[in-house]
Amino acid sequence: MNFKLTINRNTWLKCALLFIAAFICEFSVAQNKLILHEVAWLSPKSNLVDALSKQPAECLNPTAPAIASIGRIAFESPALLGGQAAKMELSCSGCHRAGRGNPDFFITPISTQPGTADITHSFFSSHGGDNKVSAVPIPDLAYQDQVSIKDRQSIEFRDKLSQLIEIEFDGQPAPKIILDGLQVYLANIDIIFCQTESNQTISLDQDWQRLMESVNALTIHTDHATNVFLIRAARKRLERIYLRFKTINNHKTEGQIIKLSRKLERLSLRNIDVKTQQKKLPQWMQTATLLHTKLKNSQDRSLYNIDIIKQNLMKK
Amino acid sequence: MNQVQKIVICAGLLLASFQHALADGGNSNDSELPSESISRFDPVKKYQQGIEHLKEKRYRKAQAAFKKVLSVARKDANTHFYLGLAYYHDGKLKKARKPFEKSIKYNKSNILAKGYLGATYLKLGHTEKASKQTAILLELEANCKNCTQLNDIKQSLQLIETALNGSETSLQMNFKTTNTGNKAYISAVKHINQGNYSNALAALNESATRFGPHPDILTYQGFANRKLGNYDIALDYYTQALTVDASHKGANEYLGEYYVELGNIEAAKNQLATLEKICNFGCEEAEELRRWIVSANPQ
Repeated sequence: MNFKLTINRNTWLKCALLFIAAFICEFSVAQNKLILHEVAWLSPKSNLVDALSKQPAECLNPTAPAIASIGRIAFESPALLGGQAAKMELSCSGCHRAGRGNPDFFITPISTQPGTADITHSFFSSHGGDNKVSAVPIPDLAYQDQVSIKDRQSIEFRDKLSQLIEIEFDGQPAPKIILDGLQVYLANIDIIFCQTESNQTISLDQDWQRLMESVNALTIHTDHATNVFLIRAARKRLERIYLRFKTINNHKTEGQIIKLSRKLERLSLRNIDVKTQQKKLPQWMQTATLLHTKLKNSQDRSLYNIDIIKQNLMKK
Repeated sequence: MNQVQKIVICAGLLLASFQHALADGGNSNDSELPSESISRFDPVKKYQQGIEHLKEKRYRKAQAAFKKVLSVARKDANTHFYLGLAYYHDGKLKKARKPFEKSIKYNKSNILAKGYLGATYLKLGHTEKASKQTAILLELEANCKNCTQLNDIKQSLQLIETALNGSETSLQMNFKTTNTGNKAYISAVKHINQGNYSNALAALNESATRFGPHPDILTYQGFANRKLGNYDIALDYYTQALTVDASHKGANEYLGEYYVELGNIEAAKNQLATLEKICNFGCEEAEELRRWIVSANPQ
């Protein structure tokens, strides 16, 4: 080929802009990956689109005491568990979605089939397993079977919860209020309270509501242990939202979510006193509200949108 | 050629060169923000590629892959061994020698490396050194009454004998599958949780054969050694894990615990600060290390 390539300044500018546009397009495609924590414990045989976009109806007593919301926060947060489970970002709701069961749950080696788990396996517990593979179907907690535990408000059930957290899942002893809340939450999950049997869509609104419940509870529960736990749970909820928004490839938005988490960290009673925390919380709320509006406007491009989940699964 | 055509050519050339750069052995960037990117080069993936090349007898490509892995994980015994294999079966005996020696240096229980090293010495005319390897293998055989390494010992002695006879050995490796590697890893975690650290190390070594210098495996190798009181070895493994992935939460946590055990609370606090920086939303690793530091230093 024999030609003279004379490119003037304007042409270079157009060229560069075209390159940048192409780069953003290619880079965006390369970066879109399904990086939700829950993928780690879903069976590859499951309908991932459904499993990642829907969850069962929560059968919670509408007149349950307010502390049940604290229990739900703990139930849905990896902050309650410890060891391998917490490091995998697994919470109680990993097995018991919305307090029910999970037919798609599968982790080697504690599952033999989707929907089963062996919680006495030493994979999750450093207190020693029973050296037997005894995976059982994950029970739907809305069916209070009255067999293993007759009364979820009993001391026996409370002790069972503590054992599960501390022994089976290597967690730290939960603060009293958290354990109270957890017990009340589980005592008020019952099939008779189901308003619908159909699955509900996982939504930004619900995740945001849970986030706000955690943060609002800080104004009520100012004892150190509970307060620190609630901040940990709130940050983990922000992470869940963050991961759903990774697909929009807006680094500014991602940065803002991270900033909100970092601000919560600074508000932890590990770093400041109660008075200062209570003073700074409204400011955090303001920032959060602005971000929430922004997120709502772009959620159609996030993994809260079932079509985006489908697209990303195809790219995998 | 008009202006539009020039622009299209220009953009096409630039895009092609960028895609080529991205495709070079790297994985896509998993970082949460671009400024927190880890290296695009993933030594674990490169190791897997090297194994595939070796299986397919693409020795030059295997050599390139393993050399790249060693640029990051220079003490990985398995990578040295497979590099040695790639050289050996490519007829590059002088180059094969050092990787086999290093493989044994970094993992004395690598029986096949001893066999291949002995065969390499023989072919290079270092008969005394070859005899030494043979003697070591014969002693192992004598002490191995149905031990798990008997097959490897026999295979190694066979390698040396074949080299002595002037015959060629074809590549006959029992490459571990991903499933086997995963099972070994899970078994290792189980052993760790049960406090059986020696068994854990054996399982981790098996898993490492499949996955190479994986930071999860390296971290647990460090942990198990630490629990056995082998502090220097533990530190070495943590350092290797962090060389492969400086943001590895487990390695940073366990390194911090190592410092607490040695009474170096300041260094442990530095590790905690590192974890808090890595974990934008908090993490169990930071919480656990914090508990360790508080326990050791209540004020």
